[in-house]
Amino acid sequence: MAALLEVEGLVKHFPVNEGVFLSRLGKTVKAVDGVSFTVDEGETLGLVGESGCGKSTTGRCINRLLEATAGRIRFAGADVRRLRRQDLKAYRRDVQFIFQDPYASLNPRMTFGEIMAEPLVIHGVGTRRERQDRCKEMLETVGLNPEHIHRYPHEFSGGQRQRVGIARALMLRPKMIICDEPVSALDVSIQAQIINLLEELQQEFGLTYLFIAHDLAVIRHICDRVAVMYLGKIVELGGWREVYNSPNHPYTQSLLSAVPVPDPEKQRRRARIILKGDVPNPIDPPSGCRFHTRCPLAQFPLCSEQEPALRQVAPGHQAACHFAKPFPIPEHKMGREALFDGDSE
Amino acid sequence: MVSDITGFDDKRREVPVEVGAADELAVSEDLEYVETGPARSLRADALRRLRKNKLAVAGLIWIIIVILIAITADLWAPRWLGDPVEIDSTTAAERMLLSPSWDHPFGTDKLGRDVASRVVYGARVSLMVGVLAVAIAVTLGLILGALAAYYGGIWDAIIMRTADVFFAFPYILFAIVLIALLGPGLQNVFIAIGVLGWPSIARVFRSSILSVKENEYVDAARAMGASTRRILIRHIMPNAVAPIIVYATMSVGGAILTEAALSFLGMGVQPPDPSWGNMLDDARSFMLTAPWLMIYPGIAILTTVLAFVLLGDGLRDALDVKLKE
Repeated sequence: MAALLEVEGLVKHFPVNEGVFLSRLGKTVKAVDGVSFTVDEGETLGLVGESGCGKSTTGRCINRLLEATAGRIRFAGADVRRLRRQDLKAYRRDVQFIFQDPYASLNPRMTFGEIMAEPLVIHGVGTRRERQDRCKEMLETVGLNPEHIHRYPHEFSGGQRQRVGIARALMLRPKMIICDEPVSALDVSIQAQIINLLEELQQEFGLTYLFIAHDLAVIRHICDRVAVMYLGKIVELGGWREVYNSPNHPYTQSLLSAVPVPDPEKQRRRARIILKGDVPNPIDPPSGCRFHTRCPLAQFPLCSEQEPALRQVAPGHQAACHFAKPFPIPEHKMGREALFDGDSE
Repeated sequence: MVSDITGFDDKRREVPVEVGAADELAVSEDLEYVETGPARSLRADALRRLRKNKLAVAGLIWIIIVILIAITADLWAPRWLGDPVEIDSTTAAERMLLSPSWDHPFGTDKLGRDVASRVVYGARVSLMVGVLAVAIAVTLGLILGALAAYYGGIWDAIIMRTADVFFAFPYILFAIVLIALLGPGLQNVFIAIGVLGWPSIARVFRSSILSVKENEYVDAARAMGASTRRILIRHIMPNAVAPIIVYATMSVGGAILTEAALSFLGMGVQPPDPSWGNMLDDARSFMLTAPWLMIYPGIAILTTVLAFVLLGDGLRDALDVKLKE
């Protein structure tokens, strides 16, 4: 299948001191530091990682909510970073966004109908009447009462609002939707419904998803391929089966070993990898392999001096580790405490 | 199929109980959708919340009464109570400093004029100064606050540092200096109060815009290709002006107070025209012998300022759409 979206060497640095007088200190937060991947038409690529690893920034750079510092983004052949005005507007019609927080992403002073009609108004689609009909249709499609178009967001729960957020993203029949943690703000019982809805909509409308999440269980459910990010870089990339069954990067292994298994017997016998310490400061990331400060396999000085490239470990499966090859998770028995900190977005 | 996942996606919400809504509450188990009562506009919602606040309603009623009195004063005050300005020299001597009576409900002043009539005409001055001064302050404040918040950087620095300079001066003193430059008189009073009032409005509006700008719905509008103008008008402004409405309402009270103070000091409305402030000034020398000269304009100032503050407070709650029922 043809790649719909190609991202190559994407870099986004945020200047730290943006005062009038201190702007020349030159310190930057390296939120995304050379990320490359492709998303094929009709597939779902999952982007996973801890809070602050740059996954949301990547998503926002792709639809130009943020301007990338460097790198290339191609969508259906067009160079996204060079798009101007009308072309950018057309591009944004094709690439829609679903936000994490269903409370903050809907304007509290607009009715559901106004919220959903807005993309149509902006792109000059249809008459007032037609737009209203389409809003009603779409509300039905996402499982809400079409009569709710005159209601305001504050009258509804998180799950219902998120359905409206999804409906809004669908109004223009986009080719691709960037889902920025669309379920992590919802109750677990609602998460499954929204995920199912997204899957069904993908089939119905032939959508391509870039699915950003920190929850591996969610990613596993919906994604065809998975990219694992750590401190602004992709450390492992491959089909979900390969990544989940034979993770090559020690970071991926530790993430997977933290996912609880519903069988208590199995859960007790499982090997756990517990990472030491916190995620390093992205203003001043570790030299060499960025993971070496927390890696259970790190060999010095190799890992602290040489940065491992993302290389193929199996067909369609890449990992960025000097020791990347399929190997079993080390057999030390560990307690049940959380495996990595900071995952509380 | 999509229809499989319709139905109950959440807990059924409690419906705010309201007269007339009761019939729609009957939600049967096999109903597909969640009902939340009849649709209401945001304005109706806000009005309903305002009505629940007894103090705010009292404030609003008092303001309306004062406005009506001020507007219709010419129709009845001179005839019933006596002229507020003219002194009838033939009868002045026997009518001065009369205590409140049926003929003169608030008594008379040292020149034999009816205090009630003067309080009524003073309401005109106070309301005019309050409303016009705040209109000037809000206009300047909105423009400057929006510039500072939206363009940021050097604009923000210049505007907000200028505002800080304004804050650093003692307010009344600054007003007196301005009026000394412009000359006393009603017009210059509200110009001075208005010009001095912009920094706080600008500051409130700026921070309000900055916080609204961070909301994801602004990002959402940008992500779907909305123009800057559209984002400002449809998303930022409607959500950022609520604090301004509240603040402006309270400021009217403040402006009335400032006018009273300036007139008291002889910098505002000039005698013989009545204003609540210069009536207090006149009353100083008769505080003990004719206390009604001070009490009635004092009560007028107190109740009117209080009414605006209470209304502002009520609006704050009423305009907050995020308030859950």
